[in-house]
Parts: sequence; structure tokens; C-alpha cells
Amino acid sequence: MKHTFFYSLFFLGISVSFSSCYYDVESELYPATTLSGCDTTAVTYVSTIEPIITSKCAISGCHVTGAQSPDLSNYTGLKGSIDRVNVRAITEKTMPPSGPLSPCNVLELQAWINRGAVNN
Amino acid sequence: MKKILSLLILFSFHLKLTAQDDLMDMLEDKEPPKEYSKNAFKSTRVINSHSLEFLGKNVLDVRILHRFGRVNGGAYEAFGIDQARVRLGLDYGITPRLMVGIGRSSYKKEADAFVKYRILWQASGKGSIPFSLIWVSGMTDSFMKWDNPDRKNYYTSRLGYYHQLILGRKFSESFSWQISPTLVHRNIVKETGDKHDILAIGTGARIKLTKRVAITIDYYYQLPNQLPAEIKNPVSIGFDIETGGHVFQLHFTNALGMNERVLVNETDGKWAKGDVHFGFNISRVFSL
Repeated sequence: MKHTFFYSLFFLGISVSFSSCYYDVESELYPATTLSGCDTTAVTYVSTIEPIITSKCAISGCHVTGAQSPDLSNYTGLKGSIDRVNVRAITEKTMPPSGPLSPCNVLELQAWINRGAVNN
Repeated sequence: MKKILSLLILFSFHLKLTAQDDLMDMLEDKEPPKEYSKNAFKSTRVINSHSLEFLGKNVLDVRILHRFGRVNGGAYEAFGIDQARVRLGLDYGITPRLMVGIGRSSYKKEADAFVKYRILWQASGKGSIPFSLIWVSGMTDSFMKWDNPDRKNYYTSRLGYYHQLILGRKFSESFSWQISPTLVHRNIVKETGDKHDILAIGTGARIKLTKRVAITIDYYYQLPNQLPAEIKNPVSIGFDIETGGHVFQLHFTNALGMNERVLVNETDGKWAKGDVHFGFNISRVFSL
């Protein structure tokens, strides 16, 4: 009797869990917001990437010289840690800690990295 | 006289029958009682995966998991020590066959909960089963800020689920092995064609070296053509050290995930490139 109760509880939990499964696709749910108004064709380090980094990452107490590693306050530091930046800010979206970069900033950063992350 | 003789014969028969009963009882006593297998693993997790072990009734397990950065960061990153991800968890044994748990990981700011039930229990003795069969179902919930708060976001997009069947056996005092077919579901994927349901087969083993120290191996094989090529199979190798009420699990792994959803779906470290993390789990049990 005791076991029957636990079996029932257990399988009830599983059925509830399965019933809340969704099969959503981000690119289908939000087709218009993916690239709209975001120009990634003319992205450069000086005009696009540096302002993003200095406003979101290389801020006081964070990724600046003498604070958290890596130092992203200059091109050399950013280029040297580009794989980690790619993972944390684009793939995982776990940086910055205050919240992910805007979708457009993510696309711009991704485009710049894909083109070799050059100092232009 | 005849009466006395009859009584004596009857009494001797009775004695003989009683003696036979005693003998039968003794024989029955020799049949070993059913004894359930225990301590197949030192903890309820092999390293990252659920193990064959359960908590006792009304036992609370406080678990602290730590994963440092990649060791190939070199001396500048103190071989990964400069970065760390944490999971704090509470597991509770309801009965010897049923336990539940909750946790919160800093990685992707994800909370998780699970229920674990022992369907079959390995035992020795008459009518016993030579292996254990366990069902685990869990759910994950990300508390990350929305990528784009301006669009209509759905709470269900934060959720993921996993279901796992663990089949395993404690072969001897020093060796236990388990295999665990696993289904991981994510409610949202990026592109059309990306799979929501990922199938993987996990396996874990423990080799006991001394009374307090054991080597553990934990591995998941993702079935092919489900995930992008950069996603790798998580492989972890570690040592379990038992010190009274604590179990320390020290290990190296290419996985940062501390729940099944991340572990199976998002492990991108390559052992060959040195994308390996040092980590530890600390488990402290309290009887309530």
C-alpha cells in the first residue's frame, strides 16, 4: 500500500513533467528581431567593438588593468582572450554579470570575431 | 504396564518429531537472509551523474560543487583557479528507495530539482535480484536575464528536463559499475532542425583503493547527429575521499555543467587540447 502510494506519486510527477515539454524554435518565434536594424557589415574594432567593451566589460572593478582577469581594456588584451570572450559573452551569455549583451551587440561581436578580430 | 509402555513410545515419538522440527529450523536458519547491497558508491553522485546510491530515510545531504576554469589557462590564470562556478544543493532521503533534491548553479544561473526512485534493489540471498534499477527525473530552470527583454518572452523557454534510467551492480567490495540511458529535453532551441530531445548513454564506475579512497569515472556518450560538432562527450575522472561525515570528490573534467541538461547539451571542452577543469564536490550528511 505504502509502495503503491509512492509509485503513484512518482509517475504523477513524471507525467506532469512531460506535459510541460515545449518544442519552440527561437528563429521561428522571433523571426523579425534576429537581424532587424542591426548592421554587422561595417563592424570595426574602434567604431563598434571598443565602445561595447568599454561600456560593458572594461569598467571600473571589472576587466581593467589590476582588476579581474582578463584585462579587456585594450585591443591586445581582448584579442588574447577572444576565445573566452566568445564563450562567456556569445555562447553562454554569462557575461556581463549584469545581463547579456543586447542581441545586436552579440551579432556585432560575433561578426568581428568571425572576420579575424582584427585591430581596424 | 501396557499403558505405561504406550505412553513411553508416544513420548519418544514426540521427542523425535520435535528434534526433527529443530533440525528443520536449523537448516532454514542456514539459508542466508536477503541482504540489500549498500555503498556501491561513496556518494549519491558518481562525479556529475546520479549514482546507484541513495540517502537513508530522513537524511539530508548538503552538497557543494565547485568547477574551476580550464587548466590550459596556464600559470597566469593559476591553471583555472582564478575562475570558478559553484552549485549548492540539498538532497533529502524520504525512504530508502526514494529521494529528492534541489540545487542552484552559478553557471547560467540555473536552478534544478530531481526525484530519484529505486525500482529494483540489488540483494543477496534467496529470491534476490543481482542488480539495481533506478529512475531519475529532473527539471532545470534558468534565471538569466532575457537576451532581449523587449520582445515577448515565455517562461517555458527557461525550462529543461531530463529522465534517466540507471542500471548497475556492485560487483565486489571494490568495484561497482552502472550504465544510464538518458533523455534530455530543452523547451527552446536556436534554429529549425536543432533537436529538442537529446539521447545519451552515461556510464560510471568506482574502483575502491582503500577503505576511504576510491577512483571514479563518469562518462556520457551522446548518440550521433544530435548536437553541433563543437559539443563533446563529457568525461570526468576523480578520487572519492571519505572522512567520517564528509565525502570529498576531487576530479578533472571537460564539463562545466553541474546538472544533466548542461552536462549533456553544452560540454565543449576537449581533453586533447587541455580544456580540462579541476573541480570538487563536498557532501555532508545530517540525520534529521
